[in-house]
Amino acid sequence: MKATIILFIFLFLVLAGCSSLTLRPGDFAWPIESVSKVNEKGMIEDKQYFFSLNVKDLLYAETQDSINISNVTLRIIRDMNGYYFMTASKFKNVYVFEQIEGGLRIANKIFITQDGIENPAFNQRPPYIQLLNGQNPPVSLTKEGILKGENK
Amino acid sequence: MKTILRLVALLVFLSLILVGQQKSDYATVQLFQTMAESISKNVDKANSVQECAELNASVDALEKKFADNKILLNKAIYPDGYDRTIEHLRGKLLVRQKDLGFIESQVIRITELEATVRGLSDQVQKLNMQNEKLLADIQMLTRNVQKLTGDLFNAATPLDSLRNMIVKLRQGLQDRDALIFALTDSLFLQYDKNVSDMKDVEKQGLLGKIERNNIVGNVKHAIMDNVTFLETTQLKGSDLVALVRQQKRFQSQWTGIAPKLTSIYVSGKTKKYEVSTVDSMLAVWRDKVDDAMWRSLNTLFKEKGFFVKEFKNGEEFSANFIAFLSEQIQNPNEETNDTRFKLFTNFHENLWLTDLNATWLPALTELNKISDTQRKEIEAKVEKWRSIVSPGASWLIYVLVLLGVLLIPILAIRLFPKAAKTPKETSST
Repeated sequence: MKATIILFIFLFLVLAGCSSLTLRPGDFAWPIESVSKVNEKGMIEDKQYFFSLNVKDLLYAETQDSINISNVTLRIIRDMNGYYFMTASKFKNVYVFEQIEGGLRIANKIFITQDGIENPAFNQRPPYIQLLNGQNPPVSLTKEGILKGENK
Repeated sequence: MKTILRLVALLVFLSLILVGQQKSDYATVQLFQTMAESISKNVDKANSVQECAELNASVDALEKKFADNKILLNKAIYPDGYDRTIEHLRGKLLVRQKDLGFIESQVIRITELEATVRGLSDQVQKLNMQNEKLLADIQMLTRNVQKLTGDLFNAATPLDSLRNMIVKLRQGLQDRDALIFALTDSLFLQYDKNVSDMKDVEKQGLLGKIERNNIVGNVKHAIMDNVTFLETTQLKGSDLVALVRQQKRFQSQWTGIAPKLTSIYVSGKTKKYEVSTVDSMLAVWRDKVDDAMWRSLNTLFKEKGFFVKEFKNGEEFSANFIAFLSEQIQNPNEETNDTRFKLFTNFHENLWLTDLNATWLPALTELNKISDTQRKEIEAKVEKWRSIVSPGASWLIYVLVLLGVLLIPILAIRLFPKAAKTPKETSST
């Protein structure tokens, strides 16, 4: 009996220690987007939010061109849930990423326009991310896609 | 100076980008930071009280321009944000002023003038745009009217909307012209001394401000707009007189500032011919407005049916009009009194009282187109014409005298009947 009780207490402590610790709520929204030029190695470096990232695969995915990458200006913003939205001028899509260890993994690819986005810019408009597309009306984005009721 | 101009051009460009498309928060933050940075650099370089005042006004303008984005800027710019950036700039400027030994009240006074300059400059730009739009609308409407009626548009065209637009534009042009000179005055007032007494640095500073506020460009723009307005609207009578007055006023105000601008431009390479260009443009405007005025007055005589030999200036007008009046007085064609009286009545009621004496003669005298003596001579001739043709001016007097002669004995008999009888009664007794 005594041994059973000791075993039970031991198991309880082990299980309690293994259960995940969750911190909520959190707000990871960036007040303004990060605008970075891709260098010849496919890297971007941000001085305000202090991060660097290799975006070669993203550029290849969008343009099918992994050579002419150094002129691209990539615009990134993070929403309040911590997802990263990325696009650039003439991109047809906005890419949504989530953070993983040492990098980002794609969470969604939102199609915007076949003609490519003109002078894109992201604005933080919680709970959405606003995408400006030249003279076209702005659209509100979530990680799932364009907010219903807005023009695609 | 070139750096400041480039910076201003960059800021205008960035602002246009912001206006041209949906507002990007990133662009707003960038613009704020660029402007703040440029002010900060200029504070380091400031050497005169005017420069300090200008920078003070720049900080005020920056604060005002981005007040709506305060929350965004406070979040986005770490660690200073909107509030601390403005505070930091003010502090830095104050230190600079103290280092240079400037008195605070002096800087404040000039800052106020600088703020006035900026306000006026904005108003001039707004009025320029508004006037351009109105002018384009009037030109389009006038063309439509011409197509419809086949006639040239004139002031009598019964089109209320067009008339309203013309009135609005005329007011707009007048307001803008006044603002340009008020703006120029405010610029010179900041220096509190004659241009000849200014140091080279001050002259350069003033030249920069004159160029930034596009004083000469605005003056030229104003002249061109006024000429276009004159040609487009083909106004008559008192409307036209108002335009002549406006031209005179403009000319006189320009005469006031032209020598100052010339002294400022002496050091400039390309700008020194600007003043004489404006003088030439003003001369063209004056000639056009004068031509329009004499043309309008000649037409007035013809339309009312009076043959006065055509005139092109004040001297000719006075001589030809007096010749016409003398002819009416002398009556070389020996017309009947009745015809002459009717002609005078027509002249007096439809031309003299309504137009010439009411509008044109006072205006021509005021504008120095004719002298007071010439005006009095014309008035005397009209009076003489009236006295000669007035029906029975002479026979009316005869009738009155005759009536008087007849009435006196009748009244005398009625009033003193006894006095007449008494001697008879006395003699019979």
